[in-house]
Amino acid sequence: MRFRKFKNKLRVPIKPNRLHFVLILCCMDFKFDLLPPPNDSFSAPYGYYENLPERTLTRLHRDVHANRQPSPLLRFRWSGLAFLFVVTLLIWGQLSDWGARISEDGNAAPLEAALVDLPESVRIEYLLAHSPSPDLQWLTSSEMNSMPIIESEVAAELLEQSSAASWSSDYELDLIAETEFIDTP
Amino acid sequence: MNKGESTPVQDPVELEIIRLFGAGEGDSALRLMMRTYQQILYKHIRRMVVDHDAADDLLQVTFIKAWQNLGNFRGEARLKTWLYTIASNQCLSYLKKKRRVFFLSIHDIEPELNRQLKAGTDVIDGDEISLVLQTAVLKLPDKQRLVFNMKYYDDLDYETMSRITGTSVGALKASYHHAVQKIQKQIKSSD
Repeated sequence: MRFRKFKNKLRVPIKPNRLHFVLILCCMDFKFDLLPPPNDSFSAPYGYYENLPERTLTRLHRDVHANRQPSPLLRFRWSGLAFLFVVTLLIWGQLSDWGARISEDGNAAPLEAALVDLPESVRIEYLLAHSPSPDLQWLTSSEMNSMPIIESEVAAELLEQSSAASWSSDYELDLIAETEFIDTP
Repeated sequence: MNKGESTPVQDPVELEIIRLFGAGEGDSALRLMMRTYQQILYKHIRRMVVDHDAADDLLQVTFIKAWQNLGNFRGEARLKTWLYTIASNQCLSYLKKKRRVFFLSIHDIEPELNRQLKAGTDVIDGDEISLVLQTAVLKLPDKQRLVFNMKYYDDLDYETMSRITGTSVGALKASYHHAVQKIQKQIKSSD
């Protein structure tokens, strides 16, 4: 009995009015939106946020110490060392090349200077005697103009010397041949 | 988030963080920044990567990166928007790296995240519809999921989202619309 009375009290007569129509229209409008109201599904474990800044600070300081910039050699290690080795070789080769050039120039310059001071005939003679023909490139154009006369003189001299040499060599060969002939039974 | 988010509004907490950092009290600045934004950023990251440990790691990395670059913060946007940007980029990089490690194609990470979602039901609040919704959300591509989460859960306006993602407002609206349609279809099919 008591339950029936309570049920009767809860019964509310529903009379349709404008508000109901508006509500129905709103429901029709949202009928197509099947998404439920946003309810954040994920939650962090209990007490997670309490020590998060401290843990992050510890990690930050640890990372800063761990990521301290090492020296370039340690950072690059073997590749860096190999690179330095190659660069050293290249520099060494270039330096030795330069050194060779400097030494050549250093030897050539005093010789040229000394030859300039000598009399012309002596200089040409020296050049022909001690240097092969490419060294004649040192001579200036004026010197080159005077070359034919001097060359002919010197050439005559050289011809005499060479003929003498050839004679002496022929003579020696004859002597050897005679000696061998004599020694031969 | 209010609609005036597009203009750089410096609220007192943000100004205090920047002041502390400028005064050389970096630890205090980081503590204040984390106390203020750790919960919203944790949820944002967690929705993207699902796994709690990964979310914890990415959240710490986000704050460390923000702290390291706070000197370069130009104040053109809110600090919160800037932190959202860093966190979103961290999430996308993490998911991309995870795919690369496991040689998965672009959509194949969804079962892995789904498995983690079902394995972690003890920490998921809400009813079954929330789980269904999360399952449907995980089927979206990463960037679309990011947009959906920011709009649906965080209620960010499109201007702020545009600043965070570097995408136009129109593209974001279209992306959200497509995401909602896909999720609705997914929910209908699961009924």
